[in-house]
Amino acid sequence: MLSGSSDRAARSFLFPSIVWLLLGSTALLFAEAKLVSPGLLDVKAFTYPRLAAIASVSFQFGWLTLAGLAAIYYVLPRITGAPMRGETAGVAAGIIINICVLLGITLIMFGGSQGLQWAELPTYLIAPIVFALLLVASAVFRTIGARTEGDLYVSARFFGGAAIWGPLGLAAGHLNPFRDVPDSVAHLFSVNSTLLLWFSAIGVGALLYVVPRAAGSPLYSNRLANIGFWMFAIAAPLAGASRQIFGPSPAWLQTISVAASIALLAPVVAVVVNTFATVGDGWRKLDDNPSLRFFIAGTVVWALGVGVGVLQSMRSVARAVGLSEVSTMQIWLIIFGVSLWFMGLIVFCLPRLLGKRWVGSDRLTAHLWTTLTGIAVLVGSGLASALATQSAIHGGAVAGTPISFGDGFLGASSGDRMLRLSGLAGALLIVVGQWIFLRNTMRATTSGEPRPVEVVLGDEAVA
Amino acid sequence: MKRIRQMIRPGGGLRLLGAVTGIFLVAVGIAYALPIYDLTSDDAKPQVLSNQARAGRDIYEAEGCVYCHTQQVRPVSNDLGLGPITKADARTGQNPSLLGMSRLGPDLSCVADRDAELSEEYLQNPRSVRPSSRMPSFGHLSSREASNLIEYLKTLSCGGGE
Repeated sequence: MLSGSSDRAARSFLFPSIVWLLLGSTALLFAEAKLVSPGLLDVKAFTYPRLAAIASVSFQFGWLTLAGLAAIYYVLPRITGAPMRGETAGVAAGIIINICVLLGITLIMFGGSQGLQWAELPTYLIAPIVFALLLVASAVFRTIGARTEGDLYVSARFFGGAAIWGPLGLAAGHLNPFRDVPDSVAHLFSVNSTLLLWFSAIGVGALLYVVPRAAGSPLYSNRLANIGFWMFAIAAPLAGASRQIFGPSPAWLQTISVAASIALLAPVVAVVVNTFATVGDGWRKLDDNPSLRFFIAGTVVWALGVGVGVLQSMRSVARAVGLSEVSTMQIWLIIFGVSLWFMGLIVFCLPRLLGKRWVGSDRLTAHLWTTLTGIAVLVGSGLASALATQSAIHGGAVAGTPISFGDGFLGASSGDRMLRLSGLAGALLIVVGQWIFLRNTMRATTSGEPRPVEVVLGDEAVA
Repeated sequence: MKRIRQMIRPGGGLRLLGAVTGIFLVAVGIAYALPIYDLTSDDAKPQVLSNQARAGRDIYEAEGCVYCHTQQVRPVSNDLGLGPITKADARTGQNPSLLGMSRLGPDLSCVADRDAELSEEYLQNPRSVRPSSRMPSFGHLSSREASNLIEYLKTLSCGGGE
C-alpha cells in the first residue's frame, strides 16, 4: 500500500508549472500585440522575437515539462502498484529546470537568443535540463522494474518512451557541432522530438490513465493503445524534416519524413478512438466531470495539430504554405492540445494530492471555455492570415511583381489587420483563462473543502 | 543488485528500455546521423566572414531575426524572384544554421543584391523609411552594432544585383 505522502515530487511541480503557463501566455499576448502595433512597448527586452522566444520557452520548458513530470510522478506509482522511486531526484530535477528556464528567459530578454526557433536556451542551460530529465528517466525505469502489477499498463510504456526520447532528442538538437544544413536537420529533429516524443507522449500516457477513471468505464481497447504506442515510437522521430519540404535537406530524408508524417495518423486515430469510445454513451458525465472535458477538448486540439502537420508535409500543400505561419500555428496547436490534457490532469489529481476540493465547478468551466475559445480564435486567425498572405505572395510572384523587401509579408493581404486584431483577442482570452486557472488553484489550496487524500492500493485509487 | 534483478526480470522494465532506446537509435541513424553524414562528407570550404560581419552575425542571432526571416530559397513559385535555390551543400559555416522555419518577413538569402536601402536608419526606425513595415525597431542597437549587422547582411549575396 502506498500513502499519499509518496507524491512529494508531483505536488512540487504543480504550482511552478501553472506560473510558467501564465507567464508564457502573457508573453504570447504581447507578441501578438506587436504584430498589430510594432511600435508598442518599444524596449530592448521586449522586441517581437524576444517575446516569441519567451512564450515558447515558458510553455515548453516551464509549463509542459513540469506538468509532464507531475503527470509521470502522479500516474506511474498508481499503475505499477509500486512507490515512485527517485522522489528526491524528481524534486531536484524540478528545481534544476525552474532555475534553467528562469535564467534562459532572463538571457533572452537581454540579447541571449540562440537563433533556434522553438528550441531557444543556450547549450549550458540545456545540458543541466538533459541531466535532470535523465534523473527522471532513471526513476521511471526503477519504478517500472519494481512494479507489483502483472501487465504493464500502456501509460507506463508512453512514460518510459518519453523518459528516454525527451532528453536524447533535446541533446541531439543542442549538443551538436554541426553547421549549415546539417545543423538545420539536427534542429528540426530536436523540435519534433520535444513536441511529439516528450510532451505528446506524456500527454497520451496521462490521457489513457485519467479518461477511463473520469468516465467510470474501462479503456476501450488496450490493444489499440499499444499499437498506437509502437506506431508512435516508429513514426514520430522520423517526421521532423517534413517541416522543410522543398528545403535544402536531402530529398530522400524529406520523402521518409512525409511517409512518417502520414504514419502518425495511426497513433492519432488510436488516441481519438480510445478517448471517445471509452467515454462511450456516457456523455452526460461531461456535465459534472471537468477533467474529462479538458481531456476531450485536448484530444480534438492535439489531433488537429498533428493533422495539420500531416497536411503541410504533403508536397502540394507545402508548395503553397511551406515556411509560412501555418507551421507556427501547427506547433501551437500541438502545444495547446497537450496543455489541455495537462490542465485536465491537474483538475483530476490536485484534490487527490492536496486533500482539498475545487471551489465551484463553474470556475473550472470558465477556465476551460475561455482557454478553448482563445485557442480557436488565435489559431484560426493565424491560419487565415497565413493563407491570405501566401495567396498574395503567390499572386505577386506569378505576375512577376514580387512583394518588395521592406514592406514585409505581414499586411500583404487587405484583411490582415482584422485577422491580427482577432488573434490578439484570442491571446487575451488565453491569458484570462490561465489567470482563472491560477486563481482556482489558489482557492482550492487555501479555502477548498477537505477531502480524503488519495490512498493507492495497487491499481485502485481510493479517495 | 536488487534493483538490477528487478529490472532484468521478465517485463521488469529493461525490455521496454531496450525497445524504446533501440527504436530511437534507429530513428537517429535514419533522420539525423545519415543525412548529416551525407551533407558533411564533401570537402567544400565554408565562407569566411570578416570580423565585423561575424560580429554582425552574432547580433542577427542574438536579436532573434530568425523568428521572422529565413535564409533559404526553394524551387516553388512563391519563392520566385528571391534568388538561386539554396543547395544542400551550401557552406556558410553557420551554427546555428539560420535557415529558419517560417517567414513573417522576407527571405534574406540574397538581401545584399536586392535592397539598396539596407541602412542603419531602417534598422533603427523601419517605419520612417517604409511606413507600412511591421518590422520592430532595433533602435536599441548602438551605431557600431547596427553597422556590424549591416555588414553581415551585405555578405548575404548571391552574386547578382539590382
